[in-house]
Order: sequence, then structure tokens, then C-alpha cells
Amino acid sequence: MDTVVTYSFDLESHLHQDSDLKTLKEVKLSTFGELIKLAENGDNLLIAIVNINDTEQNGWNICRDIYEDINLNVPVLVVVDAKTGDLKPNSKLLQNAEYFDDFISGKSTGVEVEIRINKILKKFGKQISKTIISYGPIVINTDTYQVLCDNRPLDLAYMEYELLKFLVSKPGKVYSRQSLLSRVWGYEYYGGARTVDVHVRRLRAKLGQEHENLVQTVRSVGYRFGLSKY
Amino acid sequence: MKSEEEYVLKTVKERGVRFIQLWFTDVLGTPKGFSITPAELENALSDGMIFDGSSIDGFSRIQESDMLLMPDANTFQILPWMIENASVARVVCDVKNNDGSPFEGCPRRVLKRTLDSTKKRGYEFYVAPEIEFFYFKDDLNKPVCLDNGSYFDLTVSDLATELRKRTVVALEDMGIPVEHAQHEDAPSQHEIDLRYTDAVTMADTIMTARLIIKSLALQQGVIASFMPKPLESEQGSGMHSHFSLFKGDVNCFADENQEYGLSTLAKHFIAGVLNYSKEITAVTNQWVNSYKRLVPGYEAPVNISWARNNRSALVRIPVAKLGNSEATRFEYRAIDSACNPYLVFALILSAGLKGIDLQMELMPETSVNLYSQNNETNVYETADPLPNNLKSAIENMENSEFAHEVLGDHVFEWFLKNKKQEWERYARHVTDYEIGRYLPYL
Repeated sequence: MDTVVTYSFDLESHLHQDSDLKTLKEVKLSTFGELIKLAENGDNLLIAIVNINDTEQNGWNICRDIYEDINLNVPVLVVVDAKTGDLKPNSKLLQNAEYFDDFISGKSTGVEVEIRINKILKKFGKQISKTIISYGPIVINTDTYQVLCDNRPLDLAYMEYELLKFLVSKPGKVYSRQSLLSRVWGYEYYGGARTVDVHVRRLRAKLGQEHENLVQTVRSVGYRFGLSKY
Repeated sequence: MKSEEEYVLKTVKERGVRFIQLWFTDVLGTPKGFSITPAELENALSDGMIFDGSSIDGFSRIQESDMLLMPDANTFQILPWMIENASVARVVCDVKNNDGSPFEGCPRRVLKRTLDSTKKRGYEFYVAPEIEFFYFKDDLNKPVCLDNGSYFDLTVSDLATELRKRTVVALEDMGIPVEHAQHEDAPSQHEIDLRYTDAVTMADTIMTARLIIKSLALQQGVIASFMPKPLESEQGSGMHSHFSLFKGDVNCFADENQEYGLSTLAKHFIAGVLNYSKEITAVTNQWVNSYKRLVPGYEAPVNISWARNNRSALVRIPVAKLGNSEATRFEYRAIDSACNPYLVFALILSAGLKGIDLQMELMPETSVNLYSQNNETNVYETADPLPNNLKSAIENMENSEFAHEVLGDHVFEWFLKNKKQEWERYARHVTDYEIGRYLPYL
């Protein structure tokens, strides 16, 4: 599983709504030790985002440790807080420049954060893979096509899988049958808009009574997965 | 590789599937198939599997016996009721000629061909069947009911209810939503109504449902039978099917401003179905035994007629709830549970489309109850009867250019030949009925 490690920086709040980066699993760590352990466990550490507080050395130590660990090929993005981010001539940023790959100000906009993360990842030959999508009891691994509901594997037919994947990745939004048809099917099929109803019923049957209401009918509009945003 | 094929291969690996059953259907609607191992699956998905078609009813002639099974990856499904032994999955296949061209004798092909032309006209065709069947004790010599008539045995009747319940769960696990399931009128008779789908999916689903019903019964030492009329004095097993025609979200059959809530198009469609009903009866009711069900007095149609709230007609128009135009449909009541659903759906759809093309006029509604007809109402003399035995049905079909065109040369010719042989064998057979009745007197 791809992991992004952030050090006391709320990545989520810096990203815009539909960012691909939202699929990264955010892990907040207080010590570097845990970060190393995570990497050794086989998780693919994607990027370390480290918050720097000029009055403490801790953040810089983390950056240096990552830099010096030859087994870790992890880019480091430093977040400098607004006060120390004015890049004075004697800034520690300059002194520690070799330990990080890029930096952003704590006040950076979502667009800036995203562009920088994507640029660094590209330089390191890394990619954000969106293999795990989850909502409530449902976990979908798009790499292996495995679907779990309450940790129980669901045996779906291909189009049921495609429909569920689409819905789970866009919870709370209402889709008309016609738009589901063109977005999910979009190829040879014998049914029309009612095919969507058929597959929704099939999905509900397989989700079982407990979870069938995850796919909600929005009367005379279409379907919505999960809870409404409103 | 297509993404649905990749999906199948990865699922087989992840879920530890040991065998994949390749399913297809012969011309008479008998499920056929064989199993392959995961190692062969990728090859099967891309190139198909060669099999000997000469032993399959209605397939190739001896000189062209090698045929190809092409799995339809969209139908891949793990079989939930077999999971205890080893994980087994199925995939429904299209039958092809050795050179990869579509095989005209494949019933699924016949239906797909019909649906392709329907789709070109912008229509979608939906089907919802009510499958009736009997549970019998494990004795293939005579049908012995589980809940035997008046002898109301609590434990065995519990078994039937339990079986039906398990069957519904297995169907739902397979992604086959059940509208409802119930005990039917006759002892030991049950009914499972499926939610509508497009016609190919539904024909696949019916084949699957029959297999699930039979398999689960067998696990309990019970025989599930779709024989049209196993018990002489009880109702037979029909497969009343509901049909509707859509254009996108719009039900082409509904028009709330018109009589019966039926659109002009619906009336033409139903007129077409009624018009060709005689010619397709050999397919909707394909066995000698089918005609023992189509007799007066057992809620099975015997005449070409239609009605709204009258279950004795050949076509019934269920009254749709006000404002629910999506539910407007018609029900064709002759079909029995032992038919080949692919061929039946192809014929009914084509008959309806002919009705539209030729703007056929719908006959007046039959309002009298055809079942309880007595001497005062001579309905049987006025309403055109359906064929009342297999021979008459064959004769009606033989002269039908319509059936020939829909089924194609191969299926049409083979089917008639096979059914004539069946009738001849039956006609020669001296029955217990004759021995009992004639031996003492003649």
C-alpha cells in the first residue's frame, strides 16, 4: 500500500476536493523510528512531508536521517511555517538544504502543494497508485480486483464490480441512470438505462440486507452511494 | 487483454478458484458444459476452447464436429453453493465454428442476433419470468410429492420451504435478485419470480436458476423437476413471462392517455405476439408432455386471447399502478418451465416487432373466464385455439416463414426434425392408459 508520511502537517486540508493525492493514505507520525518501521514492513513509503519548527531540531533530524539512510529512497518535502518561512540569509533552511528535496510554506495553496508533490514524485520515479478505494464496510483493491465487504470477499461479476468501483470512488454524489450507463458501461450492452437498475439490484443482493442501503435510490433522479453530503 | 478478461483472471487467482465451468445450452435448452483449470483459462478467454459438437443436441453434423466455445467474460461468476468443496466458477459461452465465426445453431446466438437488430431500432427488451417447478422424493420412476396431498407432513414440508429459502439465498449470492418465492397451488409445487433484466442476461439467468434449484435439491436427496405436467390432476409448471420494451428511460408500452394505459405500439406488439402464437408454440411448449399442461381447467391458456385481469388468457396485461408507467408490461402465459429460454425470447420479441412493423390490430379483450366456461358461453368455438398437442404445434411451425426467419435455417430444420422424431416415438408407444382401459374390454 502506498503511504505518505506527514509530520504534523495536515495534507488533507491543503488539497482540493478531487485531488488524486487524496487517495494517499495519510499517516501522522511523531518519531522517525515509526516511519522506518513502516517502511520495513513492506509498505511503499511514497513521500515524507516534514513540518519544520525553527525552534526545534527534531524536524531537521528526521530529514537528515531519511537522507542518510541509504535503504530509503524517499523524497522529503519540508513545510516551513509562516514565521520562519521568510528565508532570511541565516535561515536553517539554507543550512539543511541537502536533507530535503523541496519545500513549501505552511500557507501554500492546494494547487502549489499538489504540483510540488507530483513533481518530486516524478523525479523519484514514483507514482501515486490508486489501488485501494474504500468507503464504510467496502474496500476495493483495483489492482487485484478484490472487493471486501465487512472483511468478507464479495464475488462480483465484472460489470457489478465496475459499477461498485465507480460509486465507491464518488460517494455522496447523485448519478442519473443515463450518466452511470455512459460512464460505467459505455460499450456493447443489450439493456438501456434499466440495465443500471438491474445491476444496482444485483449489487444490493450481494451486499446483503445489512449493507444494501449503501446504494440509495434517489427518486426520479438516479442513484447515490453512501451518505448524502447535505 | 480486455479489462473484463483481466478481471476474470485476477479474480480466479485471488479467490483460489480451482475449476472454471464453461456453460452453454443445446438447442433443446439443456444446460451443457465442461470444466477447465485456471491454467487454461487465459487461453480459453482469448482463443476459445475446442470441443466435440457432434454429441450435442442440435449442433454440428458429424463431418464438422470440432467447435469452439468462446467464454463471455462478463458472465464470470463464482458459484456460491459449491464453495464447500473447492472454489468453482462458471462462465457462459457462445458457440462458434472452428474458424471463429458465429455458429448458427447456438441458441444464445439466435437471441443475440434478434437483440442486435432490436437495438439498432433503439429498443431495449426486458424480461421477468415466474419459474414454477415441483420438488419430488428421489424416485425417478414416479413423481412422489414431498408434501403429499392431504397428508400434511410437517417435517417434509419444512424441508421444501427450507430448500426454497436456500435457493433464493444462493440466487441472490449469484446476483440474481428474486422478486418473490412462494408455494404454488399444487402440492409440492413452488414458484420463484425473478426481477427483470435484458433478454440475454435473463436467458443465462434462467439456465443458472434451474441448475441452482436442481443442485440444491439434490444435495438434500430431493428431485426438483421442471417437467410441464408431472401430476395429472394438478396444475402444471409454467414459466409465465413478463415483457416490456423501452427506449432509454421511456417505457414504450405505456400511455396513460390511452385505453388500458397501453400505447399504440404496445397494442401492435401484443397483436404480433398473438398473431404468431400458434407458430411458436412448438418452441414455447416443446415437449409431448407440455400439451398435458395446456388443457382447460388448470389455469393454463388454451386459446389465443388476451385480457387484463383474467388469468385464463394467453396474454395478460397486469394493471399497472397509477403513475407507475415503468411497470406497464404484458405477460405471456403459455411458456412452460422446460423451454429453451433463448429461443423463446427471440421468437416473442420478433413476433412483437413484426406486429409493430405490420401495424397489426389487437383483437378485442376476452372478458369471460375461459376456464370456467360452461355450455352457455361458447368461448372455445369463437376463440382460436392454440395447438393442443406437439404434432399440431410442429405442423404450425413447419409452415411458418416467421419462425424460420427468426431461428435461422440450422435451428429451424434441426428443431423440427428432432420434434417430429419425438412425436413419432410417442405416437408408437402403447401407454398404461391404453392397457388399463382397453385390455379388459377389447
